[in-house]
Amino acid sequence: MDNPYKTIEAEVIDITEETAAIKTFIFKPKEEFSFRTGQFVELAIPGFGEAPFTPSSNPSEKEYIGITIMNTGRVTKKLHELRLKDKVGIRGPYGKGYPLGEFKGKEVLIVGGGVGLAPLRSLLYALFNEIASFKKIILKYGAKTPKDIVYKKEIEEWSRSSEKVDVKITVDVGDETWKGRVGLVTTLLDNLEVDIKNSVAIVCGPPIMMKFATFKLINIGYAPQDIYLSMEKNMSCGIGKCGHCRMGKYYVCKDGPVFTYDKLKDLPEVWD
Amino acid sequence: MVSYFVKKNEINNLLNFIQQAFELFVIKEKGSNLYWTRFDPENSDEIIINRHRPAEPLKGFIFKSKEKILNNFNSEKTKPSAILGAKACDLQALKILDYVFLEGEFKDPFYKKTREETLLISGDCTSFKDVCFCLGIGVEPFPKENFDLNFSELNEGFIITVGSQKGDKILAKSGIPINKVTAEQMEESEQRKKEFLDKLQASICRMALPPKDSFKLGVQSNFKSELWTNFALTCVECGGCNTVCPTCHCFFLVDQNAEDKYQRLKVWDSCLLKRFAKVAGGANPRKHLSARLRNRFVKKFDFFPEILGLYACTGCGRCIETCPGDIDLREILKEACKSR
Repeated sequence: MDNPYKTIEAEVIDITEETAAIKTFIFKPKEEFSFRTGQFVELAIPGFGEAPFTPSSNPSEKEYIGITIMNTGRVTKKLHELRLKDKVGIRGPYGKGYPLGEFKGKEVLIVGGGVGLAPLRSLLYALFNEIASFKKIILKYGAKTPKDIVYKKEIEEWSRSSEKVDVKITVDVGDETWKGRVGLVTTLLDNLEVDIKNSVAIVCGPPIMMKFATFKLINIGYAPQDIYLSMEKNMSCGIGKCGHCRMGKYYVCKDGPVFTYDKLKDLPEVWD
Repeated sequence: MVSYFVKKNEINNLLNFIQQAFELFVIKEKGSNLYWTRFDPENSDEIIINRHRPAEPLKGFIFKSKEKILNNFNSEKTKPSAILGAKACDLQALKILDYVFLEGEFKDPFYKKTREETLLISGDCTSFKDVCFCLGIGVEPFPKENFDLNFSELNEGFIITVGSQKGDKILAKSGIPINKVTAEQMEESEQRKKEFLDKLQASICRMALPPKDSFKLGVQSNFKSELWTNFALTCVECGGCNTVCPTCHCFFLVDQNAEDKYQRLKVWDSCLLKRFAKVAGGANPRKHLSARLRNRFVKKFDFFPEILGLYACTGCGRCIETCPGDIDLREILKEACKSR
């Protein structure tokens, strides 16, 4: 029987410093490795430990996998010390990703906060791969300060890439260089030019941002089953055994990490 | 299931035979408790087959407290284990562990291997502890499934019930004389069971537990109740309840280094500990101890009935016995089922 805890060796082939605390690593796995956008992987530093991440790269890219990592815990701190040619272990992918099929013909509203844009970047690339299938792609992104905005250059490219794509950014607190909008990401949901009845909303970000973005979306008329949330819990084994990521009757690792809000709205401890 | 009568003086021969192919563990008394211990042929007269469940759960023989799951570079070849004297509550708990580790898209190959190769010889309970409440949660103290052989004690010997082909083979190959169970022996066995059940029932009646079918709703509807805060007052977060629980299955993965090599281990975890559900960014869905105590009950009396139709509690009472804060699961269930 296969060992589900076995990792595939992967080499660091590129590192981009997104912000002071966030880096995007490109890994080249030694064996074939693919994922669907929204699924997550377990990334290990051999001899040190593992942590779950949702890749930020285009899922159609089969040669490598991109993972954007914020330096925020024991494992991520160590991951930030990785250099080119270093080796990591990777296993997965796990869970259910974004159901792209259900987004077809619709106006796709994407709401991201901080490093929560990482999985959404992968989603955006997946949407761009088949852009003819979607009516509109709207990105609303919020970061704490201008210095915390990830994928700056790419975001500009996305907004210019197609008439179907509309990008709006805001920061909680501006600085002397910032000419753009200041305010929480939820303010970008005011006066939304979207046909809500033919739209889905996808939210990813820190828990507090996800909570208020979801409430706002409900307020402006989105049905709970049209709001897709990417949940972050302590997915340790990734395969529904270790018990850490249970949320009500679900395990985030196998029943998620993407959930529609109708499944979560009555569960306790969702936003904590 | 087929049963045979075996005389008491033949049991040692059976155990010596089993020991050739297995690492045999038996139950012995130490102080006021029963414990699993390695079978010693020179010292076999104090072996307890029936009585009640030992202090430690059976689960550790199958779901190891610490298991190498990656780079097992010094894999020592060991004989599979044979367990003598497993009790019905612990066998019932295997249903939960089997579901967790053997069902679904991913199976745990380590659990599967140990589960398949372990020889499980159980025994009817003939005594109980003050904390035992199996009947109160619908578990009978006489094993009906999940064993290879089961021992029911009589005056002159045992009725051995065969629960699997593996058990059948062992019994046949051991060469010990086995006899048809006579009508008198059957009657003696039934009589013993009935007498024991009456005593156990009386003890459990005195606990005045709510009906078992009300546990799920009781725990569910008290989610926001103060009762969790009140009961958590004496919890010292030792995680002992998780460790001794026959159904608690949570584990964490950890790397261990040796020179230039490393291994990844799967180690029992405890949901009462603060970092259990914490994520790297600092968010912790169960920051408060009361939420963690509640979580244990939600998992056992709401989650598992919801997904599997079984309580993840078998009434063994070990968590009650082990808790340094005297937190009594029965009292929590009583409180949850009344204060609605």
